[in-house]
Order: sequence, then structure tokens, then C-alpha cells
Amino acid sequence: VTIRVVFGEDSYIAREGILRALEDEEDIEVVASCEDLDSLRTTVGDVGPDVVLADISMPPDHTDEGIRLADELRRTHPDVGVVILSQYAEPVYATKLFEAGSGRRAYLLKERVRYRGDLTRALREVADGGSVIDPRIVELLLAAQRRREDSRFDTLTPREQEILALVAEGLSNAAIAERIVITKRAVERHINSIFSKLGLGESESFSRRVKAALLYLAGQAG
Amino acid sequence: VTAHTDVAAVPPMHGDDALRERRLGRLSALASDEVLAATAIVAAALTVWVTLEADFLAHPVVLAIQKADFILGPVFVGLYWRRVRPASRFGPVLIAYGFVAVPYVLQSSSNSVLFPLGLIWELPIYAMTELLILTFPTGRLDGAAAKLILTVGILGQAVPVAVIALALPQVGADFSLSACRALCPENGLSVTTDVPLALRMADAYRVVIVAVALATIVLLIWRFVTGTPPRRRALAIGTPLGLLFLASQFLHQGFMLLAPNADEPASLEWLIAGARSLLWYGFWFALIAAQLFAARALRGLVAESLGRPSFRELERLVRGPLGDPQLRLGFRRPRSRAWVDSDGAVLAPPDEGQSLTEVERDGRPAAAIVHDRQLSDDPELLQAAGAVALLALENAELDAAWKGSLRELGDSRARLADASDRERRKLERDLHDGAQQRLMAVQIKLRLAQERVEDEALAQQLDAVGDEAEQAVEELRNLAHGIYPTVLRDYGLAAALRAIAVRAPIPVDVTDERVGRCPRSIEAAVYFCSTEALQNAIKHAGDDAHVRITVGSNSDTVGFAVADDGVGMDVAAISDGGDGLIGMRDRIGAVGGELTLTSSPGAGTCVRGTIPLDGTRPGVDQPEHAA
Repeated sequence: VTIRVVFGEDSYIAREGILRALEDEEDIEVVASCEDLDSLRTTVGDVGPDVVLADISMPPDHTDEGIRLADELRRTHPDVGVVILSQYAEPVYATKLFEAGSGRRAYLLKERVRYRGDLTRALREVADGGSVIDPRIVELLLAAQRRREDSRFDTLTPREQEILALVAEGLSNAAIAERIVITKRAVERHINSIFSKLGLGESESFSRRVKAALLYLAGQAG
Repeated sequence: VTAHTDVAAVPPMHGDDALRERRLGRLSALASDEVLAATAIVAAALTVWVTLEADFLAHPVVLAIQKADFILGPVFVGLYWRRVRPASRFGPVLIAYGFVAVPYVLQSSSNSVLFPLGLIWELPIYAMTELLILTFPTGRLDGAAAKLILTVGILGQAVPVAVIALALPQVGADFSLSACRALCPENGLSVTTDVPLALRMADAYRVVIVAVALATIVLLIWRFVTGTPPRRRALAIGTPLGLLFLASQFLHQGFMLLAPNADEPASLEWLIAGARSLLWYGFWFALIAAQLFAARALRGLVAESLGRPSFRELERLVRGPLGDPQLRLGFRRPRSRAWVDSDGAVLAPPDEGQSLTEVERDGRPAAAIVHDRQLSDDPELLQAAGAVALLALENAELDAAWKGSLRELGDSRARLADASDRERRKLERDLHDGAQQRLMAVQIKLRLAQERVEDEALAQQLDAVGDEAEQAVEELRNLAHGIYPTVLRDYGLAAALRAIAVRAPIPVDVTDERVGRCPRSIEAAVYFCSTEALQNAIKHAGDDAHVRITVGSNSDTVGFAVADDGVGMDVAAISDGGDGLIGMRDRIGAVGGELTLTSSPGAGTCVRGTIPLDGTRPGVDQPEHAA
């Protein structure tokens, strides 16, 4: 199944680069490219893509247009996924993106385009209903958590901390199992332990657990 | 500071007064104090000598003293009055009295023409005494009643006295004080002898004196009842001797009318003479009392005006001691000729019975007092009030001036800080849109190249270049963030400070007490001060320290605090501005806020700032999302 993508990016250099990077992907088709928020919004309405790949900042204001669009689409087109490409390694943008729900949302730093897999994986995950957070963001939050004397976070074993970070990045159980080379069942056990230690409640929904993990790391969990 | 009565502001009737006043002024300028005093002393000395030399008088010594007093008393009190109140006509009236009393000495002459003339001279003395009593304290014969009384008094006596002088071969003083020892000198003026006519005439002038005395007493009482408090005070001190004189005159002449042949108590005659001789000293006391009162009022007003009263409060303050509840103050706006009242409206012209007195500064009118016309005759009080009004005016001007320059300074600081923020935002945008995008394109091209390369070693080299490019991206990002944090622009203070906290090498908690979004310049100032304080904490507080950043706002202010539990320091040692303290103060000062630093060794350090949200400072714009 082809993932139909509408692309929003105002920089010519960046746009051409990313289009070329996605050219070779057989299951990803960029159906339209836009240079500002208004045309992107209109195009999404016209084309009805699976995923919107958008630079975080665009005309008219060059602020956080990408995130605002994602917020709008949550209401107007709940089935459309959004991958935000951002130059800002700031957790707050990721948490803003997830504020109205983390399903079908991804926050990637632009340097991820260096690896073929990262951007395409994010597009596929989002089209599939999942969530992705750039590892650099999670890493920042994790480092800050480690500096703090947060009793709950300290009760996590190093392995559990590692798995929490992967959960926050949006990896599925299978992907985590593959990444750190343990069984899928062991991953499930770890995740249950982590969520109960941190008091995050049940982690039944995949997208909800990503959000919970991210918000916990960002220090905004209840 | 001078106060003078603005004559243009009062009705035309007073225009004549002004003319007369000027004429009098010229006259009194010709007759300087020294000349008048010397003349009076010489005249008094002559009077004393002549009176003591006269051999026919019953009481030459007492009479000599009295006649000297009639000259010296009013002249010297008059000179003092004129010195204290140059604008008042009462001083000249007093001086005139003294010189009118000089021919009185003729009564001490045994010459058959001069002696009766001296007796007839009682009439001008009488008229002047009435004039003094009726014109105190203004020197003006105000009101029809006063004019009528004086006219009746003069005419009602002139005729009988003239007839008596013509109809009796020998006339004597009516008073025992001026009585002759045996016989008075012959009356060289008489043309016939008609005793019954003379007696009828004597009765006639007694009736006139009784009526005039009674009317004057009533008029004085009426003036006291209807006067302003300062006028009442003057009357209460200045006129009791006059009233005593009038009352004793009334009794004496009444007694003579009802019982012409009975022996009149001599004490009454002495009372009349005594009271009349002391009249001017009562006026003198009244003037001294007015000055004392004005000094006390001034002291009170100055003390009260130290509390920086508004013009309206000042007006109320001045009304009290001046006893004029209708009093209004006026001020002159710079470059305007109109008076402005305490509400900022054009000062209404004086009502009926009011005058406008201008208070000058550097020879130009600077303030105006609209007051009861009676106050014009209490110039000391008006001067006190004027001085206080001027003081308040100068204070207000100074206040406005320094507030103005302070505002200008603040505005210019705010504009500088704003311009700097704008530059930073632009620089940040340029970095992101230019260099960072290009680096991303480089990375993509590297990847595509890498994918096509067969050579393993070359692929590794390309990978290493990619790593460096990624590092460049990271460095560029940190640089851009340092220049201007986009999070601050997009989400405000709390989020921007959290972004900083996440990267800090020591634990940093950010507490957001509903700071919300604030004007951009304030957010920037608080952000840069907080990060500066955080940098200081990271550098100096020690490795185990924790930092708590708190930001919050209410409707009036934005506040922040950066507190650590580190090693602390001696504030006195760094208050010269070390550790960027001056920079922080400047930054917060530019948006009108204040910064405090508290610390002591072992007790951590806290940097605290508050910024008012008055929103009046130009350059304080709204956050970008507000629209």
C-alpha cells in the first residue's frame, strides 16, 4: 500500500533534498509540496493524504506552524498523520505536538534525513497510527531526569530506563525487543514494571503509552 | 516672592481707588519715613515746650504729653504700618492724623485769636478720629453708612462750633483736661454775645456726637459680625479702644445733655481723653497680631505642604488659616497666559466681593489667589498662602521634570533592549533558514552519495563527514538558541526556562505560577536574567546545588526568582556589579522592573525580579501569537 504524503517546507534547498531522499521509496509517494501554512492546509483538504510531512516553521510567521497545523488536523482530519521535521531540539515542541493525543504524530529533527530509515520509518509508523519522537529529544529528557533526584525514576533499573526511552521514542514492543536483543515477552514485563513503578497506570494503548512516557520524562506527568 | 493685589481683576469702582492709591504712594514717597519722623518729633517737641510754657492751663504736663502723643503716636504707628503694608492706605491715614494734630497746640496759646482757633481745631481732630475708627483696618471709607456717619459728624459739628466761636466772648475747652486754671484767654473771634444761642448750639453738637458715637458702635459691631475671620481678628484687637472712646463719649455727652448743670464725674472725661490717646496703639497691636498669625499660618502650611499635596488639597489647606472657604488657587501653565484652577479648567474670574491676587516669581505672575476682598487688607496672610502655592507649584514642576526625564530615559532603554531583541530574533531566523537548511541538504546529498559508493573506505570517509555535519548542525543549533530561543517566542517564559533546565548540568526545577504570555520585551528581559542567574549558579553554587526557577504574574506585575541551595556568597563583596549583576539590572531596568540579589555564605543565592505590567511603555508590544 502506498503512503500518500503532502509535503510542507518553505526552504527550497531543504525541500529538494528531502524530495530526492524520498524518491526511491516505493511505498511513499509525495503527492504535493507546499511552501506555507495556508496552502498546506488547503492542499490537505483537497488531496486527503495519509500523512503530512511538514517543517515546523513556515510562512506566514515562521514560528510553530507545523505544530499548529497538526493540532487543527486532529479535529478536521483525525485520520491524517503528521510528521514534523524540526530544527529545534526542544522537548516542548514534541510535548505540544502530543498535547491533543500522540497517535499519528511524529517529531523528528531534520538531521535524521541523514539516515534513510529514520524518516521513512516515521512516515510508516504515523500512517499506521503510531508515534515517533526523535531519540535526541528523549535523550535530553532522560539526561535531565538522571540529574534530578526523582525517587521514582531512580527506582528504575538501567535497563528499564533504556526501555522507557525507547517507549518514549515511539518504538513498538517488537522493535524494542529487536533493538536491545531480548524477547518480546521480556519487553512487556519490563514495560509493565516501569509503568507501575512510575505510577503511570495501565499502558494498554500504544499511542497513549508513548505520550505518557514522554510527558513523564518532560516532567509534566501528573 | 511678592504678592500684590491685581486691580485689573476687580470692578471699576476700585479703579479710582487705584488712582488715588498711586497718588498717595507718590506723596508718601516724597515724604520719606525719616523726614516724616523727624518732622513729627520736632512738632511734638515744640508742642510740649509751648504747652509747658502756657501759664493759664490747669494740667499743662498731662496736656503736653497728650498733645505730643497725638502727633508721635499716629505718625510712628502709621510709619510702621506703611512699612509692613505698603499697599494699605491706613498707614498714610494714621500719619495724616499725626500731622493734623499739630495745630492742636494752639490751645496752649494765650493769644485771643490763636486760642479759639485751637479750640475750633477740635473739629478736624474729631473728624480724623472718626475717620480712623471707621476706616480701620483698610484705610478706606467703605460703605454708605460710614460715609454718612462721617459727613453727619463733620457737618453736625461745624455749624454749632462756628456759631459758638462767634457768639461767646470767652470760650473754654469742654474737657477738664484742657481746662484753664482760672480764666481762659479771650475769644478774639467773637462778634457778639448771645449765651442762649451758644447753649443751644452746644446741645446741638452734643446730640450730633451722641448720634455719631452710637451709629459708629453699631457699624463696628455689624462689621465684626459679617467679617471674615482675619477681619474679625483685626477688629477684635484694633477697635476695643475705639469702642471704649465712643462709649465714653456717648455717655459724657448724653450726661451733659440730660443734666447740664449737674457735676459730671471727672473720671469719664479722663476716660475719653485716655481712650483717644491710646487709639493707635490698638491698631498697632492688631497689625503685629496679623503678622504673628500669618507667620504661624505659613509655618503650618509649609509643614502640611511637605506631604506633597495636590493642587486641590493645597487649596483646601490654604482656606483654613485664611478663613476663606471660597478661596481658589490658580496656576499658569507653561506658555499659556490663562489661569488654570485645581481641576485643570480655566480659573473662573472673581465673584462679587472677591479679588484676584497674583503671586509673582522672577517678576512674572506664576500663581493666583482668588479670595474674599477683605483678605486684601491682610496681605501677610495672602503672601504666606502665595508662597506656599508657589512652593507647591515649583515642587510639582520639578516632579514633572524629573518624571519626564526618567520616562524618557526608561523609554530609550526599552527601545534599545527592543532593538537588540529584534536583532537577535533576526539572526536566529537567518541561522535556521540559511545555514541549517543547507547543512541538511548536505547531509541528504552525503547519504545519497554514500548509498552509491562501492568503495568501503570512501563510504566510511563520507560517514565521518556526515558525523561532522551533524555536529555542525548541533553547534549551530546551540548558537542559535543562545542568540534567541524560539521556544520563548513560541510558548513563552515557562517553556523557555524548562528548555534551559533540561540542558543544565545541575538539577533545575522550573515552577510556573501562571506566568502565561507577557509582552515580548518583558519575556525577553526575564528570560535573559534568569539564564544569566542560572549560569552563575552553575558556575558558583557548587556541584551539589539545586536550582529552583519560579516565574509568575498577576494583573500588575511579572515576577521571577532564581534560587539555589549552593554555597552562597557575601553580597557586599559582589554588589559592585560582578557576575553580570549590572547586566541583569540593566536588562530588567529597561522594562521598568527591579532586581534584587540576596545571598550569604552557606545559605544559597537568590536573584529576584519584578516588572510592572503597566503596558504604557512604548516598544512593549504584544506576543506574536496574541493577534
